Amino acid sequence: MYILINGSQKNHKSNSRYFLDYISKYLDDYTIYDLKYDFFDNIIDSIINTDTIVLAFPLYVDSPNSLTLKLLNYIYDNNIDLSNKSLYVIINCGFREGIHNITALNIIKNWATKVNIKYSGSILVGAGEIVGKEEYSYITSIAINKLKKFGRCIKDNKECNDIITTMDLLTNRIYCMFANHSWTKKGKINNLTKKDLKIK
Amino acid sequence: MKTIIHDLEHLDKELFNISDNDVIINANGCSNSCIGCFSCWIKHPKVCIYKDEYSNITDSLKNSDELIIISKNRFGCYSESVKRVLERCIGYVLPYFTIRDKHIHHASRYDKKINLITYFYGDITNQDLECLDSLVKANSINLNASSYEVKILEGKVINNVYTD
Ligand SMILES: Cc1cc2nc3c(=O)[nH]c(=O)nc-3n(C[C@H](O)[C@H](O)[C@H](O)COP(=O)(O)O)c2cc1C
Repeated sequence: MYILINGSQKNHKSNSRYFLDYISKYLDDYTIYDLKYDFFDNIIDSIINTDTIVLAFPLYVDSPNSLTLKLLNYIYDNNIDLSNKSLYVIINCGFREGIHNITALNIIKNWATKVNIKYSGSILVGAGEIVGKEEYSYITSIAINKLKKFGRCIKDNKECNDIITTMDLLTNRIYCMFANHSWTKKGKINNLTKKDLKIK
Repeated sequence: MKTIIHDLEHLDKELFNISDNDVIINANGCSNSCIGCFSCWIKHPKVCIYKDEYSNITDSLKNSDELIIISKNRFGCYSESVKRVLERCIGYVLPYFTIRDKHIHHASRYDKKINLITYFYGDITNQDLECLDSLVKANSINLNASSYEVKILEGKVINNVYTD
Protein backbone atom coordinates (compact mmCIF):
# COMPACT_ATOMS: atom_id res chain seq x y z
CA MET A 1 0.00 0.00 0.00
CA TYR A 2 1.34 3.40 -1.04
CA ILE A 3 0.38 6.66 0.64
CA LEU A 4 0.88 9.67 -1.60
CA ILE A 5 0.78 13.02 0.18
CA ASN A 6 0.32 16.35 -1.55
CA GLY A 7 1.78 19.01 0.76
CA SER A 8 0.92 21.97 -1.44
CA GLN A 9 -1.00 24.87 0.09
CA LYS A 10 -2.65 25.91 -3.15
CA ASN A 11 -6.41 26.25 -3.30
CA HIS A 12 -6.59 24.82 -6.80
CA LYS A 13 -4.95 21.86 -8.44
CA SER A 14 -1.29 22.11 -7.58
CA ASN A 15 1.78 21.00 -9.48
CA SER A 16 2.64 18.66 -6.61
CA ARG A 17 -0.73 16.96 -7.06
CA TYR A 18 -0.16 16.71 -10.81
CA PHE A 19 3.13 14.87 -10.19
CA LEU A 20 1.50 12.51 -7.69
CA ASP A 21 -1.35 11.76 -10.10
CA TYR A 22 1.26 11.00 -12.73
CA ILE A 23 3.22 8.66 -10.46
CA SER A 24 0.05 6.91 -9.32
CA LYS A 25 -0.40 5.48 -12.84
CA TYR A 26 2.45 3.10 -11.98
CA LEU A 27 1.01 1.92 -8.67
CA ASP A 28 -1.78 -0.55 -7.93
CA ASP A 29 -2.73 -0.03 -4.34
CA TYR A 30 -2.49 3.61 -3.31
CA THR A 31 -4.32 6.53 -1.69
CA ILE A 32 -3.59 10.17 -2.42
CA TYR A 33 -4.13 12.73 0.34
CA ASP A 34 -4.16 16.50 0.10
CA LEU A 35 -2.63 17.77 3.31
CA LYS A 36 -4.66 20.96 3.02
CA TYR A 37 -8.09 19.38 2.64
CA ASP A 38 -8.04 15.87 4.03
CA PHE A 39 -8.56 15.13 7.69
CA PHE A 40 -5.12 15.33 9.35
CA ASP A 41 -5.75 12.39 11.72
CA ASN A 42 -6.72 10.16 8.77
CA ILE A 43 -3.47 11.02 7.03
CA ILE A 44 -1.45 10.18 10.13
CA ASP A 45 -3.32 6.86 10.57
CA SER A 46 -2.63 5.96 6.96
CA ILE A 47 1.03 6.84 7.31
CA ILE A 48 1.30 4.58 10.35
CA ASN A 49 -0.30 1.70 8.46
CA THR A 50 1.60 1.88 5.19
CA ASP A 51 4.99 0.64 3.93
CA THR A 52 5.76 3.40 1.48
CA ILE A 53 5.17 7.15 1.56
CA VAL A 54 5.55 9.47 -1.41
CA LEU A 55 5.68 13.08 -0.23
CA ALA A 56 5.31 15.89 -2.78
CA PHE A 57 5.52 19.58 -1.96
CA PRO A 58 6.58 22.93 -3.42
CA LEU A 59 9.69 24.91 -2.56
CA TYR A 60 8.65 28.01 -0.63
CA VAL A 61 11.36 30.48 0.39
CA ASP A 62 14.11 27.96 -0.39
CA SER A 63 12.70 25.28 1.91
CA PRO A 64 9.69 22.96 2.42
CA ASN A 65 6.42 24.92 2.57
CA SER A 66 4.91 25.52 6.02
CA LEU A 67 2.08 23.00 5.58
CA THR A 68 4.60 20.25 4.88
CA LEU A 69 6.62 21.38 7.91
CA LYS A 70 3.47 20.95 10.01
CA LEU A 71 3.35 17.27 9.04
CA LEU A 72 7.07 16.73 9.67
CA ASN A 73 6.86 18.42 13.07
CA TYR A 74 3.77 16.48 14.11
CA ILE A 75 5.37 13.13 13.35
CA TYR A 76 8.60 14.01 15.11
CA ASP A 77 7.03 15.73 18.13
CA ASN A 78 4.65 12.82 18.71
CA ASN A 79 7.41 10.18 18.42
CA ILE A 80 5.55 8.39 15.63
CA ASP A 81 7.73 5.47 14.65
CA LEU A 82 8.31 5.24 10.92
CA SER A 83 10.98 2.54 10.94
CA ASN A 84 10.51 -0.18 8.26
CA LYS A 85 8.84 2.34 5.97
CA SER A 86 10.25 3.90 2.80
CA LEU A 87 10.08 7.54 1.81
CA TYR A 88 10.18 8.93 -1.72
CA VAL A 89 10.16 12.70 -2.23
CA ILE A 90 9.02 15.01 -5.04
CA ILE A 91 9.96 18.69 -4.68
CA ASN A 92 9.14 21.27 -7.32
CA CYS A 93 10.15 24.91 -7.57
CA GLY A 94 9.41 27.93 -9.74
CA PHE A 95 12.96 28.55 -10.89
CA ARG A 96 14.21 26.82 -13.99
CA GLU A 97 16.78 24.62 -12.26
CA GLY A 98 15.85 21.71 -10.01
CA ILE A 99 19.03 22.22 -7.96
CA HIS A 100 17.27 24.98 -6.01
CA ASN A 101 15.43 22.15 -4.22
CA ILE A 102 18.56 20.53 -2.77
CA THR A 103 18.50 22.33 0.59
CA ALA A 104 14.83 21.42 1.05
CA LEU A 105 15.72 17.82 0.27
CA ASN A 106 18.53 17.87 2.84
CA ILE A 107 16.04 19.16 5.42
CA ILE A 108 13.80 16.19 4.60
CA LYS A 109 16.78 13.82 4.87
CA ASN A 110 17.59 15.23 8.35
CA TRP A 111 13.99 14.65 9.36
CA ALA A 112 14.02 11.13 7.88
CA THR A 113 17.06 10.22 9.99
CA LYS A 114 15.34 11.54 13.11
CA VAL A 115 12.10 9.59 12.59
CA ASN A 116 13.90 6.43 11.38
CA ILE A 117 12.22 6.26 8.00
CA LYS A 118 14.24 4.79 5.13
CA TYR A 119 14.91 7.54 2.63
CA SER A 120 14.64 5.92 -0.80
CA GLY A 121 15.02 8.66 -3.40
CA SER A 122 13.72 11.88 -4.87
CA ILE A 123 12.96 13.87 -7.95
CA LEU A 124 13.71 17.60 -7.78
CA VAL A 125 11.73 19.38 -10.46
CA GLY A 126 12.75 22.77 -11.84
CA ALA A 127 10.23 25.01 -13.63
CA GLY A 128 7.42 23.29 -11.71
CA GLU A 129 4.78 25.72 -12.94
CA ILE A 130 5.53 24.57 -16.49
CA VAL A 131 6.34 20.89 -16.00
CA GLY A 132 3.26 20.52 -13.77
CA LYS A 133 0.82 21.63 -16.44
CA GLU A 134 -0.50 19.51 -19.28
CA GLU A 135 -0.76 22.55 -21.57
CA TYR A 136 3.04 22.86 -21.74
CA SER A 137 3.64 19.18 -22.48
CA TYR A 138 5.25 20.12 -25.81
CA ILE A 139 8.34 21.36 -23.92
CA THR A 140 8.36 19.19 -20.81
CA SER A 141 9.07 15.71 -22.16
CA ILE A 142 12.59 15.47 -20.69
CA ALA A 143 11.35 16.15 -17.16
CA ILE A 144 8.28 13.98 -17.62
CA ASN A 145 10.44 11.06 -18.78
CA LYS A 146 12.47 11.41 -15.59
CA LEU A 147 9.23 11.42 -13.61
CA LYS A 148 8.23 8.18 -15.34
CA LYS A 149 11.58 6.64 -14.37
CA PHE A 150 10.98 7.75 -10.78
CA GLY A 151 7.47 6.21 -10.87
CA ARG A 152 8.87 2.86 -12.04
CA CYS A 153 11.44 2.96 -9.24
CA ILE A 154 8.70 3.43 -6.64
CA LYS A 155 6.65 0.63 -8.19
CA ASP A 156 9.63 -1.75 -7.93
CA ASN A 157 10.36 -0.58 -4.37
CA LYS A 158 13.91 0.19 -5.44
CA GLU A 159 16.23 2.81 -4.04
CA CYS A 160 16.62 5.58 -6.55
CA ASN A 161 19.39 8.15 -6.97
CA ASP A 162 18.20 11.73 -6.56
CA ILE A 163 16.96 12.91 -9.95
CA ILE A 164 17.19 16.60 -10.86
CA THR A 165 15.27 18.14 -13.74
CA THR A 166 15.99 21.50 -15.33
CA MET A 167 14.08 23.17 -18.13
CA ASP A 168 17.02 22.66 -20.49
CA LEU A 169 15.05 23.40 -23.64
CA LEU A 170 14.88 27.06 -22.63
CA THR A 171 17.98 29.12 -21.90
CA ASN A 172 17.96 31.32 -18.79
CA ARG A 173 17.23 34.35 -20.93
CA ILE A 174 14.32 32.78 -22.76
CA TYR A 175 12.93 31.31 -19.55
CA CYS A 176 12.98 34.80 -17.97
CA MET A 177 11.26 36.30 -21.01
CA PHE A 178 8.65 33.55 -21.01
CA ALA A 179 7.93 33.92 -17.27
CA ASN A 180 8.03 37.72 -17.26
CA HIS A 181 5.61 37.92 -20.14
CA SER A 182 3.25 35.63 -18.26
CA TRP A 183 3.41 37.84 -15.08
CA THR A 184 2.56 40.95 -17.11
CA LYS A 185 -0.33 39.09 -18.70
CA LYS A 186 -1.63 37.99 -15.29
CA GLY A 187 -1.39 41.60 -14.06
CA LYS A 188 -3.37 42.80 -17.06
CA ILE A 189 -6.20 40.41 -16.21
CA ASN A 190 -6.45 42.33 -12.93
CA ASN A 191 -6.27 45.69 -14.76
CA LEU A 192 -2.71 46.31 -13.56
CA THR A 193 0.09 47.52 -15.79
CA LYS A 194 3.70 46.42 -15.52
CA LYS A 195 4.38 49.68 -13.67
CA ASP A 196 1.58 48.91 -11.19
CA LEU A 197 3.10 45.50 -10.48
CA LYS A 198 6.43 47.19 -9.75
CA ILE A 199 5.00 49.68 -7.25
CA LYS A 200 7.41 50.48 -4.40
CA MET B 1 15.39 50.56 11.58
CA LYS B 2 15.11 46.77 11.91
CA THR B 3 12.34 44.25 11.30
CA ILE B 4 12.42 41.31 13.68
CA ILE B 5 10.47 38.13 12.96
CA HIS B 6 10.58 35.68 15.86
CA ASP B 7 8.85 32.72 17.48
CA LEU B 8 10.04 33.25 21.07
CA GLU B 9 7.67 33.34 24.01
CA HIS B 10 9.66 36.18 25.46
CA LEU B 11 11.85 38.41 23.29
CA ASP B 12 14.86 39.82 25.16
CA LYS B 13 15.16 43.24 23.48
CA GLU B 14 18.51 43.98 25.08
CA LEU B 15 20.08 40.74 23.85
CA PHE B 16 19.12 41.50 20.27
CA ASN B 17 19.77 45.23 20.51
CA ILE B 18 16.18 46.13 19.64
CA SER B 19 15.06 49.73 19.95
CA ASP B 20 11.61 51.32 20.15
CA ASN B 21 11.31 52.22 16.48
CA ASP B 22 12.08 48.66 15.30
CA VAL B 23 9.19 46.53 14.06
CA ILE B 24 8.67 43.28 15.97
CA ILE B 25 6.63 40.53 14.38
CA ASN B 26 5.68 37.63 16.62
CA ALA B 27 5.23 34.68 14.26
CA ASN B 28 3.35 32.63 16.86
CA GLY B 29 0.17 34.57 16.14
CA CYS B 30 0.28 33.95 12.41
CA SER B 31 -2.47 31.45 11.69
CA ASN B 32 -3.12 32.26 8.03
CA SER B 33 -0.80 30.43 5.62
CA CYS B 34 0.11 31.58 2.14
CA ILE B 35 -2.17 29.85 -0.36
CA GLY B 36 0.14 30.37 -3.32
CA CYS B 37 -2.35 32.69 -5.04
CA PHE B 38 0.33 35.27 -6.00
CA SER B 39 -2.14 38.11 -5.22
CA CYS B 40 0.74 39.96 -3.54
CA TRP B 41 2.37 40.07 -6.99
CA ILE B 42 -0.44 40.38 -9.50
CA LYS B 43 -3.58 41.62 -7.74
CA HIS B 44 -2.64 43.90 -4.83
CA PRO B 45 1.14 44.18 -5.27
CA LYS B 46 3.05 43.91 -1.94
CA VAL B 47 -0.07 43.13 0.11
CA CYS B 48 -1.11 39.61 1.17
CA ILE B 49 -4.67 38.55 0.39
CA TYR B 50 -5.29 37.80 4.09
CA LYS B 51 -6.16 40.88 6.06
CA ASP B 52 -4.40 40.57 9.38
CA GLU B 53 -1.35 42.05 11.09
CA TYR B 54 0.95 40.10 8.74
CA SER B 55 -0.56 41.35 5.48
CA ASN B 56 1.84 44.20 4.83
CA ILE B 57 5.24 43.24 6.22
CA THR B 58 6.76 44.32 2.92
CA ASP B 59 6.40 47.96 3.92
CA SER B 60 8.30 47.48 7.17
CA LEU B 61 11.02 45.57 5.28
CA LYS B 62 11.19 48.41 2.77
CA ASN B 63 12.02 50.83 5.59
CA SER B 64 14.48 48.52 7.34
CA ASP B 65 18.24 48.12 7.06
CA GLU B 66 18.17 44.77 8.78
CA LEU B 67 15.89 41.75 8.81
CA ILE B 68 16.43 39.71 11.95
CA ILE B 69 14.91 36.25 12.09
CA ILE B 70 14.90 34.35 15.38
CA SER B 71 13.64 30.80 15.06
CA LYS B 72 13.63 27.39 16.62
CA ASN B 73 15.63 24.99 14.47
CA ARG B 74 13.46 22.31 12.85
CA PHE B 75 15.60 19.74 11.02
CA GLY B 76 17.78 22.52 9.55
CA CYS B 77 14.85 24.80 8.72
CA TYR B 78 12.84 27.61 10.32
CA SER B 79 9.96 26.75 12.64
CA GLU B 80 6.54 26.35 11.05
CA SER B 81 5.29 29.71 12.39
CA VAL B 82 8.34 31.69 11.24
CA LYS B 83 8.06 29.96 7.89
CA ARG B 84 4.40 30.96 7.62
CA VAL B 85 5.36 34.61 8.06
CA LEU B 86 8.25 34.41 5.59
CA GLU B 87 5.96 32.88 2.97
CA ARG B 88 3.72 35.91 3.29
CA CYS B 89 6.62 38.30 2.58
CA ILE B 90 7.34 37.40 -1.05
CA GLY B 91 5.82 40.71 -2.17
CA TYR B 92 9.12 42.21 -1.01
CA VAL B 93 10.59 41.10 -4.35
CA LEU B 94 9.00 41.40 -7.79
CA PRO B 95 7.39 38.51 -9.65
CA TYR B 96 9.69 39.30 -12.55
CA PHE B 97 12.80 37.20 -13.03
CA THR B 98 16.26 38.54 -13.63
CA ILE B 99 19.67 36.92 -14.07
CA ARG B 100 22.22 37.52 -11.32
CA ASP B 101 25.58 35.70 -11.39
CA LYS B 102 24.32 33.49 -14.24
CA HIS B 103 21.33 32.31 -12.16
CA ILE B 104 17.67 33.25 -12.31
CA HIS B 105 16.31 35.19 -9.34
CA HIS B 106 13.41 37.51 -8.68
CA ALA B 107 14.14 41.14 -9.45
CA SER B 108 14.26 43.49 -6.44
CA ARG B 109 11.31 45.77 -5.80
CA TYR B 110 13.49 48.23 -3.87
CA ASP B 111 16.93 49.65 -4.55
CA LYS B 112 17.98 49.47 -0.92
CA LYS B 113 19.63 46.24 0.20
CA ILE B 114 18.89 44.70 3.56
CA ASN B 115 21.19 42.73 5.94
CA LEU B 116 19.84 39.33 6.87
CA ILE B 117 20.70 38.15 10.37
CA THR B 118 19.35 34.85 11.67
CA TYR B 119 19.41 33.26 15.12
CA PHE B 120 18.50 29.62 15.67
CA TYR B 121 17.88 27.87 18.96
CA GLY B 122 16.96 24.36 20.16
CA ASP B 123 18.79 21.10 19.42
CA ILE B 124 21.01 21.59 16.40
CA THR B 125 23.05 18.81 14.79
CA ASN B 126 25.94 19.37 12.36
CA GLN B 127 23.69 18.32 9.48
CA ASP B 128 21.08 20.84 10.66
CA LEU B 129 23.78 23.53 10.70
CA GLU B 130 24.80 22.79 7.12
CA CYS B 131 21.18 23.10 6.01
CA LEU B 132 20.68 26.31 7.99
CA ASP B 133 23.70 27.85 6.31
CA SER B 134 22.61 26.93 2.79
CA LEU B 135 19.02 27.96 3.54
CA VAL B 136 19.91 31.41 4.88
CA LYS B 137 22.44 31.92 2.09
CA ALA B 138 19.78 31.10 -0.53
CA ASN B 139 17.32 33.43 1.23
CA SER B 140 19.87 36.24 1.18
CA ILE B 141 20.52 35.75 -2.54
CA ASN B 142 16.81 35.68 -3.35
CA LEU B 143 16.13 38.74 -1.20
CA ASN B 144 19.16 40.40 -2.83
CA ALA B 145 20.45 41.09 0.69
CA SER B 146 23.81 42.77 1.16
CA SER B 147 24.99 40.15 3.65
CA TYR B 148 23.81 37.27 5.81
CA GLU B 149 24.69 35.82 9.18
CA VAL B 150 23.74 32.58 10.89
CA LYS B 151 24.01 32.62 14.67
CA ILE B 152 23.22 30.02 17.28
CA LEU B 153 21.48 30.98 20.46
CA GLU B 154 22.17 28.99 23.64
CA GLY B 155 20.33 30.65 26.49
CA LYS B 156 21.73 34.18 26.41
CA VAL B 157 24.89 33.17 24.59
CA ILE B 158 25.15 33.96 20.91
CA ASN B 159 27.64 32.06 18.72
CA ASN B 160 28.46 33.22 15.23
CA VAL B 161 28.49 30.34 12.80
CA TYR B 162 28.38 31.65 9.26
CA THR B 163 28.84 35.12 7.86
CA ASP B 164 29.05 36.34 4.31
C1 LIG C 1 5.37 31.90 -0.94
C2 LIG C 1 6.08 31.28 -2.10
C3 LIG C 1 7.46 31.10 -2.04
C4 LIG C 1 8.13 30.52 -3.11
N1 LIG C 1 9.49 30.37 -3.01
C5 LIG C 1 10.17 29.83 -4.05
C6 LIG C 1 11.60 29.69 -3.98
O1 LIG C 1 12.24 30.02 -2.99
N2 LIG C 1 12.24 29.18 -5.07
C7 LIG C 1 11.56 28.78 -6.18
O2 LIG C 1 12.21 28.33 -7.15
N3 LIG C 1 10.21 28.87 -6.27
C8 LIG C 1 9.51 29.39 -5.23
N4 LIG C 1 8.14 29.51 -5.29
C9 LIG C 1 7.44 28.97 -6.48
C10 LIG C 1 6.81 27.60 -6.23
O3 LIG C 1 7.78 26.67 -5.77
C11 LIG C 1 6.21 27.10 -7.54
O4 LIG C 1 5.19 27.97 -7.91
C12 LIG C 1 5.71 25.67 -7.45
O5 LIG C 1 5.48 25.20 -8.76
C13 LIG C 1 4.41 25.54 -6.67
O6 LIG C 1 4.11 24.16 -6.55
P1 LIG C 1 2.68 23.60 -6.14
O7 LIG C 1 1.74 23.94 -7.27
O8 LIG C 1 2.86 22.13 -5.99
O9 LIG C 1 2.26 24.27 -4.88
C14 LIG C 1 7.43 30.10 -4.27
C15 LIG C 1 6.05 30.29 -4.33
C16 LIG C 1 5.37 30.88 -3.26
C17 LIG C 1 3.88 31.08 -3.35
